[in-house]
Amino acid sequence: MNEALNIFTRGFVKENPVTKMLLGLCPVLAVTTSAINGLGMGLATTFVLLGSNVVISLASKAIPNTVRIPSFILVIATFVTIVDLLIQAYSPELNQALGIFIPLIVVNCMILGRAEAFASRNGLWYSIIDAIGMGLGFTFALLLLSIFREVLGSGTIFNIPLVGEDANTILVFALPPGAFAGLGLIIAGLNSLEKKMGGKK
Amino acid sequence: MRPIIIITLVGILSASLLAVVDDLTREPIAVAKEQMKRKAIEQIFPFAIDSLNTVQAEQTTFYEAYNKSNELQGIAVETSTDEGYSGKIEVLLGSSPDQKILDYKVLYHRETPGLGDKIDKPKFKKQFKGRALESTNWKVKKDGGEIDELTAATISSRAISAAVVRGLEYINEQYPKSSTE
Repeated sequence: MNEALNIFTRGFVKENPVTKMLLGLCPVLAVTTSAINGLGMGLATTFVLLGSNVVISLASKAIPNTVRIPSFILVIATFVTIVDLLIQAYSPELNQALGIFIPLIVVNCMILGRAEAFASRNGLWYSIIDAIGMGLGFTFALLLLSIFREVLGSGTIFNIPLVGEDANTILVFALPPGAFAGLGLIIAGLNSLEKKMGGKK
Repeated sequence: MRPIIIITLVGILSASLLAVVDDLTREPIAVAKEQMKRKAIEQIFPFAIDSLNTVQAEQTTFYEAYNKSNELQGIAVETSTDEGYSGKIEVLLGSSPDQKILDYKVLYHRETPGLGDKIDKPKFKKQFKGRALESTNWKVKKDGGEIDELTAATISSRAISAAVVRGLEYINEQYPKSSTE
């Protein structure tokens, strides 16, 4: 059980895919203009990660090494397409906002990374925990960055206006450069927080 | 031989799973698209729509909104322009039967957040209300026209004006004044 807890929390803090590993930055930087987009992308990615980790941990013994990566990509692409279709059907607004970035989850190297480094070498149970931990860690980082950018860049939070329509907001945070700056600030903040709390080197 | 068989199997399994999901979601997706459009149309008309009639024309699609007593209350038309600051802008334009603008809604755009995307804000949109094709100088004020451009987003403002003009032209063509009394 301790091991399970360890695997779960690892995705959140110590090996957070965004703030520590800097994986899957394409969606992180591109879709975090509003909190709803960040949350939607995070949850969609978590679903794909869960699906691919489950299938790959079950099937990895049957898959020969030579076709390992293509098989993994096939599995991941299948789950991404499922998510894409489901979002189109049940959340057209989110589909409009995320657009091309949903199909692009296929190339999120975090998912292939987890399949390759974890799911293919561990059992079903641990792979599920790993997927949920990493997925929520990813979602958490996206949410943090998108709230930061939405509040400063557009003056709203979850599309609820915080300031008047005419107020001047810090536009740069709604634009791509603001994504880089925001991510840098968040990583710096989390690192310093961790240092203070843990007292570790 | 074994790798080939395995990856073929993986492919077949993936494809069959996707076929099932596609089958299950096809109808909800069509319904969702329809609802999105309906919602957009309801937003641009200031009255309750009783029935909606879709007219597919050569270049675009018209939506005729009728009230309870089956009178034509408004016409919505899909229009677009490629002159936006970052490419295509798609607009749903609503007009009254006498071809005056009621409102419009931007369906798709890639304008700069915080500057150009104000083309979809009520404050900018309200100046279009009641305008007709012939009686308006559709240039922005900077170019000597009547349309108040957005600060730091003149190109987006020009583009919207162009899209609106095109939409009105579609409507005038499809519903010539004589036939609408």
